[in-house]
Amino acid sequence: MQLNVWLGRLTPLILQLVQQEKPDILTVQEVFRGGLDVKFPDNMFTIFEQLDDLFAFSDFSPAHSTQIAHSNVKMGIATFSNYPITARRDFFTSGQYVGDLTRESYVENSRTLQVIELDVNGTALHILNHHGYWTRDAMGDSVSVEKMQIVADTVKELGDVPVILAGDFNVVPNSPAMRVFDGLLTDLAATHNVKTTLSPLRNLHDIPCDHIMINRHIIERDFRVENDVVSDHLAVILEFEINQRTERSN
Amino acid sequence: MRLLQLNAWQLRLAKKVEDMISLETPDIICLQEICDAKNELGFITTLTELQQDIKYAHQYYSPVYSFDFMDETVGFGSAIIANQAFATKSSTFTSGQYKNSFTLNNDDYNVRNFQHVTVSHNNEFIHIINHHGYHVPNHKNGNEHTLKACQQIADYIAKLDGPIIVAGDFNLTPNSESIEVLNGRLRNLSIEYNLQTTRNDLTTKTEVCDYIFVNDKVKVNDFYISDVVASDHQGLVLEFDI
Repeated sequence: MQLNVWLGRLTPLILQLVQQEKPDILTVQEVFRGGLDVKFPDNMFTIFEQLDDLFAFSDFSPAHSTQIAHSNVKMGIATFSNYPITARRDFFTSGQYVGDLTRESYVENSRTLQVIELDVNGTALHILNHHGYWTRDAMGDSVSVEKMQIVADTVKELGDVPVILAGDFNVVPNSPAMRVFDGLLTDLAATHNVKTTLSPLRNLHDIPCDHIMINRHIIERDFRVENDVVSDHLAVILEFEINQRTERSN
Repeated sequence: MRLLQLNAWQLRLAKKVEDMISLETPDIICLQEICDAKNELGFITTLTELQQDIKYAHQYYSPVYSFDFMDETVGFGSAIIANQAFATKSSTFTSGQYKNSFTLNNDDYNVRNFQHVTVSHNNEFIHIINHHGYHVPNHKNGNEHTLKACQQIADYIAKLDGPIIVAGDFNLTPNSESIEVLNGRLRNLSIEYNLQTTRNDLTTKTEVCDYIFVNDKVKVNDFYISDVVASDHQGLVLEFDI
């Protein structure tokens, strides 16, 4: 499951959806991680901790942190899994980490890419989670292309292994930025002609900016956009298997 | 005149709140769970930003605590917004006292108050009371704190003359002992109009906990739930005359 959680504004509904869908792997963006000592009810700052309770393994990549009511709260992207994480790394594709954020030190478009290796019953599966460079126009611009090329280059560096790339890329399937994946990964939002991945909570329509992309080692069994409103984005769900034939041929 | 009651849920869905106000065109807006600060905060819309966007001339803000966020001091509390000036305005604490530099992990979040403003209409002053009720975890049946608060509001309005409207998220069910204190003194429109819930699909909760009460000096022309989903509480709309 892929979902931009919109800073956890609708955390109880997100938890309900995750419990209902029971994904093995969840990639999320715009996640607050405030620590377990936050006691304030229905707060937005502990969505990482609450999702973490639903999975066996997790990985968090902060873009910045700040003090909110004397709690150190980090914001970033996260991947949750019921399969063991055997390797992980992350890096910024845009901007840099800012600790103890202030109005002056805020950097717009601080974006990271997570590269997670999972042990799926003895097979290494690589999950890449990315929050894409934002421009007002979901067709992106030359910077969007440049930043997305970093993601594509990272996929190429992994070699011919099972890969799933997911995230809110902030660009639509037919944007120039998405062309960097041509011949490398299949964009299921494109092949399924997804009309939008923004929920009715946004006054924007027809913007399929959330993506799940797979390579030849991943067999798609089902792909859908879940219409439950749990964020200003909709959840995108892929049911898949790892193609053992292609995997063994490596 | 028209009055809108909404627990604004920290304006998490600020654009939808603006849609609701644009659709319902209230003269008076009673809001709970509102943040305000001198500058824009980014991830939370402030009362000042909302007031600028909806272009209402007057607001009265009563924070129950403030917290630090980056280099800002952010207030949290209730607000009444109107297009006409308030003749009088005051706040009274019903639980705890104003807390500076609130912490998420140590401080009691149940600091509560009620606001009282008066507005002039047809040569009379209408009393508007706005309250965010004490939150009891896991149920809405109330406890000694909610009973004390409702009794405090009932005693307060007993001293007022003229039309009275009491609005708010009381965090109480219609038949709770605490709400019964007010039911005995005012018309409870959420009960009278047989509301089944004042929550919506943005929460798993299903109770009636938001209310508009009026006294016999207020003529109710209409009372309904707004169709716009702008919070995890529904907006209540009262169309009235005096």
